[in-house]
Amino acid sequence: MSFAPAEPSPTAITAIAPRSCLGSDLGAIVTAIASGTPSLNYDHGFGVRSPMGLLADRSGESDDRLLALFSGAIAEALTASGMLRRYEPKDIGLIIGTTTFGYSQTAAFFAEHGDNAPAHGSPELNARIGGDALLAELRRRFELAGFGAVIGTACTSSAMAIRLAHRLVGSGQVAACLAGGFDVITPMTVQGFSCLQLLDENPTRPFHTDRAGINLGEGGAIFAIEPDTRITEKIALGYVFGGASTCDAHDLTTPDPEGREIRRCIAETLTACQMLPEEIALINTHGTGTTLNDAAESLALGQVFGPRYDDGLSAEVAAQKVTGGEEPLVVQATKPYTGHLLGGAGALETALAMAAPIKAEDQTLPRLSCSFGFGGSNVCLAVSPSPHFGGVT
Amino acid sequence: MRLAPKATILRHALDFTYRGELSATPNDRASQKRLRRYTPLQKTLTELLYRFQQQHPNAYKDLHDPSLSQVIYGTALGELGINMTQTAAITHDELPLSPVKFQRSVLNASYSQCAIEHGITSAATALARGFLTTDAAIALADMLLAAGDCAHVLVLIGAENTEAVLQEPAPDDAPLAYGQALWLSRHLSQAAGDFILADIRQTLSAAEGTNDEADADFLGLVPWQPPIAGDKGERIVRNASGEGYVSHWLSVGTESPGASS
Repeated sequence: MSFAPAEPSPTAITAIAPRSCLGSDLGAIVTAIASGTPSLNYDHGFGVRSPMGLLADRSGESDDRLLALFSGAIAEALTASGMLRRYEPKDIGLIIGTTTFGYSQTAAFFAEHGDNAPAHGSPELNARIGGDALLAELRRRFELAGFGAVIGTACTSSAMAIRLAHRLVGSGQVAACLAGGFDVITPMTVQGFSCLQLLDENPTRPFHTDRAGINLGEGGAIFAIEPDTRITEKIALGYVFGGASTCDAHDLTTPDPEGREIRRCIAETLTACQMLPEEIALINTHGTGTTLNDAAESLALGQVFGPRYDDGLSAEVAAQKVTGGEEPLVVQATKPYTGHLLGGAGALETALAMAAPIKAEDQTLPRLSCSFGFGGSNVCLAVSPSPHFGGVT
Repeated sequence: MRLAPKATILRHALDFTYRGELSATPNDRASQKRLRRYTPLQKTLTELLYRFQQQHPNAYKDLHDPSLSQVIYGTALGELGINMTQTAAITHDELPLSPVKFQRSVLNASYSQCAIEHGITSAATALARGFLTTDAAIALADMLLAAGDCAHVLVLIGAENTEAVLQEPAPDDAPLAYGQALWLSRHLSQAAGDFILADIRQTLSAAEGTNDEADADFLGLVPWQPPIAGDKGERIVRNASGEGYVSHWLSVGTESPGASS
């Protein structure tokens, strides 16, 4: 049987609500990264020696913080996009990605019951800690009644949410959609990555030969995604051209060292968008700073983009910051400045890919954002800023 | 109810309740050694796909073609038991955590282990929607098929019986985990045994539903069941918030693809 997937029309990005340790203004975040402003610190109180990128507001338990993050960003995206002037709330979908919801309520349960705590929690607890509880509350608050789902594909969660939203909106299955995701740092993530020996004691160094692991961070982003045909160019901040997803089927936490499915994911994104590698102006790498991930990603990108990638990577590693470089292909890795946002990483970095300042004549050329996660989940998105995008100075 | 020229068709449905016994999974020494380390939920999904391979070899082959097929893994709470024990360990300062358990605690980990076992590299999404997980996964599959994203979607549903898993020893007859595999396709023609998804829509409040909504018969999940003879083919599920899904299913012929435990 032969089957030719139908790539939907580009979709318009009409708002982005980002959150990170560098703030909540996309232009300010990009400017801070470009200037190499140190932003991660050791004063986090999680009991491990590894710098983290914490949000300024740390009040409340992690589940409450996540709810507040999502709620604030959704409100901002709805207002900034003007989406509610074009669609009824019942027609707006909400697809979110997160990996840490439920932790603080579960911890409180065990703290409250001490040694007598039932090992399996309680039905009441279990009803509150699934991602659906978060989604239901957000849908209720904003009266959003289009398709809703919580995506849990580890560190690709929010990128997967955007990819799905693009497919559904671009094909007319959903009228408009808010998509993206957030994570906050919990003791579970800290202890989990610590026991895997993946936390770098120093600021992370993606793609360096002496890289030694990740730094954790908090945040993410929510995108407002609408059909391109209904949006005038002046409203659109940018566009999602398409994307792809693949599965390594190799290991639960380490990538296929040959990077085969990463390569296929990138190549399929280009094919779906009818783009050639030489048409891409910038690549936002997943760039975690771990030995195995960076090696597999670099191998895959080198095979797709050839010497343009190698030259761009050399410039990135030399500067370890986002530059408005002169290389034809700009390669960026932003986790040294934001930390690894886990489920929120893909959305924030897609925004950073779109907003990164590059040569003026290349400014509206397509950019790719790569996200990879535990379980061998790979997502690649192709985006570009609109000519009127003013988020970056 | 009007059917689109290309309707989403439920071509195969399998389910499996794991009580400590596997039948389709290879039982050679290497497989046994490998499977011994799997969680009940991982074993359940793995067994389910071996049964799928035995009963529907052509569909299983298509599942391995990334240009044809995608996977939507729906699980309300994933490996809840592992998450509970990990959180309890942190709360009681019993550190360090187990690296193996931490890997398995991620929502998509059980499917990922299954994908490794079966060598499936097709695009895979993991979603959670609580009580509505099965229907949200079906609705997403229906939209992706209608969008021309792929020709087939495997909706794979998994749930762990946390209470049984965490009991030492587990009760002999307690189900340890449950899984369901639904093979959905977009086709111009239908065959005997197929179920056509005439429509599926979300409902916003209890007022929109009727009183015959399906019961959650496994850990808050509502498995898809073939409409029985004479049934109007309507499936209604609703959560405590009043949100729900209503779907209509038409059977083709008399042969049922129904469930096989």
